[in-house]
Amino acid sequence: MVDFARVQKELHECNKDIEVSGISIKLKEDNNNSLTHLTGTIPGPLATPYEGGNFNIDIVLPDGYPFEPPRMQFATKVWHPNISSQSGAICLDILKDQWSPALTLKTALLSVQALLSAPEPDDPQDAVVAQQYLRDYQTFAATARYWTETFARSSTLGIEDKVKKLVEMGFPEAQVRSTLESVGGDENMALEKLCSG
Amino acid sequence: MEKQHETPARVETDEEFSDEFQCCVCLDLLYKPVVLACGHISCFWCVFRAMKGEVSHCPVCRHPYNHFPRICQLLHFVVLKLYPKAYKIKEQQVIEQEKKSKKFSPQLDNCFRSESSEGLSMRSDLPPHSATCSCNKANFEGTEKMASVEYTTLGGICNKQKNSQQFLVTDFHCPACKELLYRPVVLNCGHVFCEVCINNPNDRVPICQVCQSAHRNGCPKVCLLLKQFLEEQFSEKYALRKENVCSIQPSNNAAKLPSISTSPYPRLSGRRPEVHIGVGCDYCGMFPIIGERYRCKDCKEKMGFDLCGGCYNISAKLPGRFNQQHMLEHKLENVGQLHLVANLAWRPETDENESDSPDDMGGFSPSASHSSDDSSVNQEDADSSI
Repeated sequence: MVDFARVQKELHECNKDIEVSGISIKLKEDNNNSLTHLTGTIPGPLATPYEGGNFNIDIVLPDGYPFEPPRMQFATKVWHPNISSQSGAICLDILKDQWSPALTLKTALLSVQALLSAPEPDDPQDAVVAQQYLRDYQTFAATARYWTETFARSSTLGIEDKVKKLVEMGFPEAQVRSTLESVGGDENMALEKLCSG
Repeated sequence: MEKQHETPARVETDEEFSDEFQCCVCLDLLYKPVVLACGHISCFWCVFRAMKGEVSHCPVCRHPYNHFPRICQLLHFVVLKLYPKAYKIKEQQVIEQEKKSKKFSPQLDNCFRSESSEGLSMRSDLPPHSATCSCNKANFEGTEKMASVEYTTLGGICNKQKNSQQFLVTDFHCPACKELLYRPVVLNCGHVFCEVCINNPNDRVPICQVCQSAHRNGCPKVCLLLKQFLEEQFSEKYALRKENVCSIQPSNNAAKLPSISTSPYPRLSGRRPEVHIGVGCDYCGMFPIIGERYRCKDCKEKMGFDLCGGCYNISAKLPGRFNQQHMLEHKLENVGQLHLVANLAWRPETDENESDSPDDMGGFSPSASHSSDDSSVNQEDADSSI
């Protein structure tokens, strides 16, 4: 049985200093607001290819939580040696055998954030990324940056700002609006579509 | 202590408590606190549920241990007195959970019998701490009401003044040297001593002078929460104690004892000792029991009552680790490996899949892999790790 009182305290504490840590945890809306399915968000660390991105992490609390680790995986696609580029699975010891009940969702997310700053290519989750990291760091960094721009670039812009921005790039407004709508308001995907179409 | 009043908003609790008294596992007020050999503290049930496999690890510092300590009654008494309202709320929540799981934590004896039973029901749980608690009766009675009201609003300095009126220094005397506890360590049995009083270089395993039980969780480290509390409560006396102790005993022996004692595990020649995963000894607290295991046939509690071979042979009379009403005339039976799966009462609910196959239990070496690195940790490291 999950200790829900503790989970509630954790959410309260974590969301209290969101401005400082940048880390937030929310209930997953499509899950009847159950306390066992959560979404964590971490900002990409500065001075890394992940800077500027906001990464969503799916969190599932097992029955034994907090005596068993929370199950976490990236919902946002990310290019990193210790994170599967396909599934988002994370290779991190504290989410496995090194978990301790004194750790919290927030400290675990902080560790994931630290993992983004300090990849461990010798203990990879994604062999392809790890190979690239070791053999050709420049290409790795460029790919990671591109993935961050493409998938993790959160936009704080409202829909009108996005339209304005894209129109300023030279696209007709009607086309911009329809394209934005078709991709769910994601300006980067809209831009890609506009360029290719 | 700067952080003390930063985080007032607790869910469902109108009484604020300082972060130091928050259990690192349930993130709530410490309830029936258990102090591990490394000096870190959790609630009774939080420690119990966090224990796993052959060697458990402190949630905070990962210090290995293989004995489930008893509740530290002195600390229980401190938390209860500081935060009576919050403690009562927590108590009710825990009792609800205990009723659901039908597993109960130990009832702590009342040493304040002269008090009226009205008001805070938690008083009935107040324990005798060694022999010193009872002299606190009169004082406790008088200040109780004031404390319960004023602690909800008082700031740091005021708080401190009230505290010093409330706590008597005699409650915090070391049973060995009969003086104020200096650098307090909590043994496996829950009794508290000065660090220097139990670190006898001739003994490999410290023996409690109150209850005579051996402390088998390795070298106990100073309980920083208690130390900090004493420093603030009795600052002058504590400083005096510091001078005295330092002048007599400049060096500390802390690093000489192994971090996990090797002695509790009988080495059976020719075959591996049996490991009763999830089952603990109700006397010495060995968890899991390794070697012979005796189970009481007459104890009706769901938790059951088990002893390790060593404790069975000394036929001591001690209370169980839980609420068992074990009697000396009860019959105990030797439980072999075959019965293992059927007797899972002591096992935490969370690792139910681990013990089913006896083959998993590889060669057991409780001390070899842990003692070397941990015993070398010096006191500064220990102090900073809370």
